Order: sequence, then structure tokens, then C-alpha cells
Amino acid sequence: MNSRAKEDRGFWKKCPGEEDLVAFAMGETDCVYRDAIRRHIGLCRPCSRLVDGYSRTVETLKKEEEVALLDRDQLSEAVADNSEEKLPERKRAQSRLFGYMPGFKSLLRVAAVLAILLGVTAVALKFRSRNTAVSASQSIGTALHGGVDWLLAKQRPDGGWESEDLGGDPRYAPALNGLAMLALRRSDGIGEDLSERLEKATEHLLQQQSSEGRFGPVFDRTLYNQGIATLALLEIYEKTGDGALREPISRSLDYILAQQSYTGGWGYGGAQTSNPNTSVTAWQVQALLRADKLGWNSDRGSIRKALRWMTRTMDSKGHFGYQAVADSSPGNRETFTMMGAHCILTAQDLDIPIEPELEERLLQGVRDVAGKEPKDYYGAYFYASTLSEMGEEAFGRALASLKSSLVERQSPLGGGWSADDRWGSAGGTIYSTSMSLLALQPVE
Amino acid sequence: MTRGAARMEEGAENAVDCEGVLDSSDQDLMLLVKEGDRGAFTTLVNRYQESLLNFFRRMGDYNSADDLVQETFLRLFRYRDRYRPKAKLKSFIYLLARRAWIDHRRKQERLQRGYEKIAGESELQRVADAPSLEDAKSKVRLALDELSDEMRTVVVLSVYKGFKYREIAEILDIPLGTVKTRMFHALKKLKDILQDE
Repeated sequence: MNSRAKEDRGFWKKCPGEEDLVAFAMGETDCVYRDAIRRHIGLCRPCSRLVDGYSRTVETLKKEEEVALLDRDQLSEAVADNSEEKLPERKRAQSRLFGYMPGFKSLLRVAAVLAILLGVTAVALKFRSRNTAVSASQSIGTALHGGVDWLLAKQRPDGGWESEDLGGDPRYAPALNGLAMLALRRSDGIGEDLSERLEKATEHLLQQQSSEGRFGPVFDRTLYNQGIATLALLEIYEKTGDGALREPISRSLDYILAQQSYTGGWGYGGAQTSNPNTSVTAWQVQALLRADKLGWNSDRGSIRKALRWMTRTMDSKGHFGYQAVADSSPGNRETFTMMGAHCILTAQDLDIPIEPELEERLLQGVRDVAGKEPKDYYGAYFYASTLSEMGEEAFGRALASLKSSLVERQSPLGGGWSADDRWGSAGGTIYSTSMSLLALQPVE
Repeated sequence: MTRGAARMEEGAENAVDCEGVLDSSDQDLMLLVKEGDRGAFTTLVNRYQESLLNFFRRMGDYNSADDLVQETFLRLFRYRDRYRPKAKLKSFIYLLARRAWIDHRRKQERLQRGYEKIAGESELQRVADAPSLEDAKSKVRLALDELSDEMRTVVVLSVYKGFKYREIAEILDIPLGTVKTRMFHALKKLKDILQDE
């Protein structure tokens, strides 16, 4: 007997939950459950009464008459007029042009694109398919606007994002708020001024810092909160120059350094409790590198030690491991490779080099994984960051393909991205949307 | 158009949406709107304005419903580039409507807090949007007003606008399970209120 049939038989004996009865009354159950509930209520008077009660309630609600709109045409015209008034100048001119020759809109569109091509000949020679690049960048721009608006819509009055409401684990609140802040900070300048929103978000994040500098609760994933929140504060500091942030950032960096293991990496729960891994280490390294870039008196020795640890997980083909060489599955291996490469390339920009032989292997590893699609939004961010740092000439196509794929995955309705990867249950839609925005944005 | 005909039209939209005929017509109109076609935009306004008006009234905003309808359509035009043909236009419109409603509520609350500071009152009152005497007679409306905003939204979208749970989850950007739970609590409360009368 298959499992569906077993469920059917289960409903004979056991009353369904009242939520299920409501769903049945609303016509929201699938055919198997519907038939099972129908059979059940045929025999169970209490459940039958409940369903009748809910059905009558719905009927009563539906009897409420709709209000007719008396001045329908007047409203329609008024709304249409107001909308036309509010069109920005650029678009208004465009619609007038198209309005004169409605039958040739497609030709005019093509003509406009060709005019752009001719007008930027030198740049057009660099890219083979300029039409594709223009429309792709417009799609990315639209996607970025949509994602930013989504984040702004979900931001609460206290400046934070409620991780649990958005499908995430509340223990990760500092990390998830940090990701949202990073996404907004790097999007500032695309649309409306985000300063005020970021200021509120910063205030909210700082409220989650303990006196010892730690963000969020102590649990085995504390350092995700720490690395990401610290990086977010550093980028806000970089943008605003707000001196009031120096002290909390310093405490946060001290906490990170205190948790570094003697081997150089960072692991779940801190230095005393676990083995380092690439995923946690990468976020701490990013925070330390950003601090170093901003002239913080950070410990370059710690950074070098961390990078040495990371390169020790690198195999002969330049793939990074999780805790050791070749210890991760395909899918994870690609993400770790891009994480490691991103950290090392960023460090090189700050004159913290690695040995030439290791650098060659790293480049080989990146070239090897560049054409593969990342398995999750987490990977997408590190892929995009690394491919951008490696340069358009070598990896432009792979980067464009990655971004195009992300744009396609954006929700057609709301502007966010669904938390439909393996980390979705931890991060929720703040994670999926923020990481997607970070992947789509240009690298600074 | 008579009230009955308007209801039939909305009902027909809901029914034929399943077959995709009127929905693809919505999509065609929206694609024209994306080009800047004002006539197509006016047609869409005509098609959805009454339904939206009733949506906002059922959400409790009697006096501001007209403004909210207009705001929703303005946003539809402003954000027309974000509409993707694979999504139902109706869902997109109600997503914009709900956002407009939330923004309106927040603005009202800020204004109300401002009034409190001046008047020294301690309780928030939805005086600006209280129903008229005539509206207050409707027991259904009073019952809906008893629900939280979250529960009321789910009920209105499901019972009055015909959206499936899955579609409501997309519009509100919440898990499907949350829709189911909110609907249960809402109907339970409404059943208690309406059957007590």
C-alpha cells in the first residue's frame, strides 16, 4: 500500500486539524486530502458541523455587497492623467516619439539602439553583442531597483529586518541584517537616497552588540553573525565617516581576532570549540581586510595567518576545501574555491600577496569552476565577486550568464528572491534577496 | 455598468483566469502599458478600479479608498517595467495595492502620533478613517474590522478577490503555511462574531 493510501486511511480514524478543515471549506486541499476529509465528515458529526460553520461564515462574508463606482470614467481619466503628469522627462519624450508613429514602434526601438551603438563606437568594438549588453544591463538595473525596494519595504520602523517573519532563523539576525545593510549600502546611488534607512539599520544592529563586541547570541554559528555584521559596519563607516562607529567596530574586530584558532582559521563557535572552516573564515577575513583598507590598526599577521590556513585547503588543481584538502563535495567545492579566491584577490589589492605558485594554482581553480553554475545564492555572491575581480576579458561571459540567471530568478511580483536553496531555511528571503543583490552589484 | 454586471465581470475574470484568456488579455494590455500606451493603461484602470476600491474599503479604509485606488494605479504605471509576463497581472496589482495600503497606514499612524503630542491623547484612534454611520451598520464590515491587519488581508484576498493560498503567499511574500494559519484564525474569529449575532 502506498503512502498516500495510508494517509487516506489515517483520516478515517483521526479527525483532521481545524486548519485543514478550513482549507477544505475554502477549496484549498489537494484531491487526495479533499476526498479523505469528505469521507471523514460523512461519518464524523463534530467535524461536519465545523465545516458547515466555516462554509456558512464564508457565505455570509460573500453576501456583503460590492460598492459600485459611480464616477468610473472620471476616475479612470483622472488616474491616467495623473500618471502621465508624473512620467519623468526622458520617458515622456520617448512616448511622444512612439506616439507619432504607433505602427513603427519596433523599428524605432531598433533605430534607437543602433544610434547608441554608433554613438559609442570604441566601446561597442570591445563588446561583440552591444545590444545584448545594453538590454542585460537594463535588466540588471531593473532587478536591482526591485530588490532594493523589496528590502526597504521589509525594513521595520526600528531599522531592522525581522528574520523569523521572512523565513530565517532568528539566531542569525545580526548576519541577516548585516547582509541587508551591505546590499543597500552598495546600492546607494541607484535610486532614492538610502542614508536615513542605513542609519536606522546601523542603530538597530549596534543594539545587538554585547559589551565584549559580539553580535547576537552565543551558539555554534556565532561567527557568521560576527563577520558579516562587522563587514557591514565597516562599509557604513567607509561611507559615512561616522566617528561614533569606531568604538563598536574596534570591539567587534577584537572579538574576531580573539576567536581565531591557532592554525589561522575560524570555526563554528570560536577558536576553542571547533575546527576552522573556509565558510566562516572567509567572512572574518573579509571584515579584517576591509578594516585594513580603512586604515584600522589591524593585525596583518592575523590576516596572513588566515590566508595561509585557507591556502592549505587548496588541492593541486586550485580547488579549496572546507576544512582540509579535497574534503568537500562538488557544488560546495566550487563555492569554497570562489570564497578563497575572493579573499586572496582582495588581500592582493592591499599588498598582502601569496606565493606565486599558489597564485597560479588559485587562478587555475577559478578558471576551472568559472563556467559552472553556483548551487545557491551564497555561492552566487562569491562567484560574482571573484569573476569581477578576475576581469571582464577573461570571465565576462561567465559573469554575464550568472547575473542573467539571477535576474531570471527574481520574483516576478515583489522584487525579492525566493529562499529556495539549501540555506533558505536558515537565512530566509533576507538572505536570498541580499545575496542576489550583492551578486548583481558591481564590485568596489 | 450595474453592480451585478460588475460582479459578473469580476467573477468571470476569476473563473477565466484559470483558462488564461482574460489573464493573457491583461498581459497584452500591460505590455502595451510598458511601451507607454495610455489607452491600454486607461483600460486596465477601468477593469480593476472597482475591485480595488472594494478591497480598500474592506481593509477598513473607507474615506481614503479612492485615493488608495489612484495611488495603486500610479504605482502600477511607475513600476510597469517590473512586471514580468509570466506573473498574473492581478497578483501584481494587489501586491502594489497592499503596499500602498501599508504606506498609507504608516503615514496615518505617524500623523496620529503627531496629533497625540499636540492634543495629549493617549490612545491611537482611527478617527480619520472611521466608517460613516451608514457603513457602520454592516455587521460583516464590523466583524472584519475586528481582525488584525494581517488576518484581514488574507480573508479579503481569498474570499473577495478569489486568490488561492499559493497566490496570496506570493503577494504577501509569506510562507504558504502562514497563509493557511492566518486564514484559519481569521475565519474562526469571524465565525464566532457572525454566528453570535
